[in-house]
Amino acid sequence: MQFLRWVYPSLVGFLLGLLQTGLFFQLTFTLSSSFRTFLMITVCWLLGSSAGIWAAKRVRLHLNGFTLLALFTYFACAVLLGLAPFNTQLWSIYGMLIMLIGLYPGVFFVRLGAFYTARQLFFRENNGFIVGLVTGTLLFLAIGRIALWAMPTFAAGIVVPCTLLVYTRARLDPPPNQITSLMEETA
Amino acid sequence: MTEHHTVQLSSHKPPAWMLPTLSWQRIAPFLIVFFSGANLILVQWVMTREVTTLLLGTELVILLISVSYFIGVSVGYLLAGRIKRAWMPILGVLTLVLHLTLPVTFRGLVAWLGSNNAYWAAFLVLPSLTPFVVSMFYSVFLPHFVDDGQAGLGSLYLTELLGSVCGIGVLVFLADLGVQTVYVVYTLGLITVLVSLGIRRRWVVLLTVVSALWLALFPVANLWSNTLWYTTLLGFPEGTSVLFSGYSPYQKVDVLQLPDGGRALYLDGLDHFNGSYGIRLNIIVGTVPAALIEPENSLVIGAGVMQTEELIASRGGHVTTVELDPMVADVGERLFYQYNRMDTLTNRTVVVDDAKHFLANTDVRYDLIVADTPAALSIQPATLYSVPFYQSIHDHLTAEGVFVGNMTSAFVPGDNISRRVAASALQVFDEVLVITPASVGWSFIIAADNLPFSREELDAALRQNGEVQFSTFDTPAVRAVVGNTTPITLDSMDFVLQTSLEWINERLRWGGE
Repeated sequence: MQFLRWVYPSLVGFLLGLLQTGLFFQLTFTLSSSFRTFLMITVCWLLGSSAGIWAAKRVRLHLNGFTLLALFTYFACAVLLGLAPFNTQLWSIYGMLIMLIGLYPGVFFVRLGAFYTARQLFFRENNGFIVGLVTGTLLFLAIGRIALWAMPTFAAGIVVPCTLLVYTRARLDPPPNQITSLMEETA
Repeated sequence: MTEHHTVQLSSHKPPAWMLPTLSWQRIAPFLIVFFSGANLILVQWVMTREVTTLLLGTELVILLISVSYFIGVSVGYLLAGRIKRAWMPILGVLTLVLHLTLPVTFRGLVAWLGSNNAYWAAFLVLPSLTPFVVSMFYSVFLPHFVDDGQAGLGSLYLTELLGSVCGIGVLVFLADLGVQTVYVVYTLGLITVLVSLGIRRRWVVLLTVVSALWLALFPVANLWSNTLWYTTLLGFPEGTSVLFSGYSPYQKVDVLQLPDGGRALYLDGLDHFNGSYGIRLNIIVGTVPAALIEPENSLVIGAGVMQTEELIASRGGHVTTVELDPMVADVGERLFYQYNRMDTLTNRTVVVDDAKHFLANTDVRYDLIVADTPAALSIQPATLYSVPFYQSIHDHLTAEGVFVGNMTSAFVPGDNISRRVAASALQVFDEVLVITPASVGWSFIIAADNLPFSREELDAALRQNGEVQFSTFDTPAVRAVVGNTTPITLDSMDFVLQTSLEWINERLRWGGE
């Protein structure tokens, strides 16, 4: 359990790294490889995260709900790209979808901030993000676009039960810095 | 007792109209984190282009640089709370010096390694330096302030994200004005961080003056260090100078003035056009097909110096150039008149767009489409050699239309890249010829469903245009060399990894032979 608690932020970072890498590849391949695409992904992700910070304590949705929302929105992007390739009239829709994905990291940091010190949380998440970035790129090069679908699914398949375990454990054995309201929000 | 505490402990209620008093200690963490977010984006923009160029970028180099940058962020997080507050202003001043001089010092360092036959060491030194020199400093603050109880994680993280968005805004609106302008904004941000960290006023004045002086001198130092890099490492002769150097949204763009009066275009440190050497390539993809089919309407994918376009347009007919990078299109038009006559030819159009997106959104058909695209050393250029892209080209050719594409390596049985490119073309076109002119040293595809000229006519056109030694493969010969090689698709990009590794391996041996 101690190991799970230690590794959990990295697992989330890994998933986020895969999602961001996957979005970048898929959108540059079948929407446009212009700077505008890169800009849209980055800015909308950041704005989504900002909204996620706001939503973390106001929206009564379990963290896993946000994980699954991010995953399904990611797939929605891929499906839309398949249905309407290179259609830049859909910029705003892609932007909104990416903002929905970006909600997840925002909520994650605020809610998990009660379980970890900020140093631990950001450090471990960022390490996972690096692994996700590298794995996503190398696996895409090695096995193609299937990696962009399979890897985030695989990572989410690990993150979702881990989230449940981390929260359950936290309920039984709350760390000193934990705030009670967190439990209510995530129950 | 600090002012912050005084405000908190004050018991009397302020009048209803009075704004809440914000103490400096309370605002400072937010200012620091905001400008950290913004400056991390700005310095990443400079560092990525500079280090990619110095390591002669491929997909693996790009990945290595990204990882190195994010490791720096992790190091900063790890050090949060472990560095004494008193050290932060010193680290901040060091960061200011290192970041403002980064392009010059990194080029100088790599040129020095190159001149000592140790260019390979740059692949170790730059990625090792980057985390500590580039990204570590700014990522210390956020976790430090949160864990120190100076502000909540949510509000500080939100501030940093907004800072990052503003940093991107600076790049969007000001990057066109040049790296010097971006550095001015960057400097103001870092000095604000230092002020918020409580450095003394005289230090602020001194740093501002010294930074302003350096930024005034920066264009000169920038061109000097670029010239040093090109002459020391890439072997350009004495007398070579850098006419233009800029960071585009995609890459570092350099234009060189050669001692013989010629000019060269380098993108991310890679040769794109090099005086008389580049001219032969453009004759093969421009003059030769134009002479054979006299196209009414042509499309050239990838601008470069736009000489190919001139060679086609000078025979009549309209030529459209589609180029992804606005800076390449701009310097191509402005600084290569002697090669492209953009100032006199009126039958030409330049479109700044992704070629894939451009073709997918136009119904125009062309008699000639030329793909003068960079080598497939990274994923994005590699997509321009893929079956879907060739299919898109095919669908935009007239009934008698011809596609001419650069293979970037010699088409021989042992060469994986050119065989895979040819395999992609064979998937789409009924007829695929491959020519390898000795003057260029690599091969070109000429493809169509119904080529309007014979192989003999092609050979004659090559001879008429000064090509004395070349080989030509007709479609059955191309099929034989290709064999069962896998065509390039979005699901078979493994060759990028392979070419990237080979390229790095080759560079690691520079100076060792």
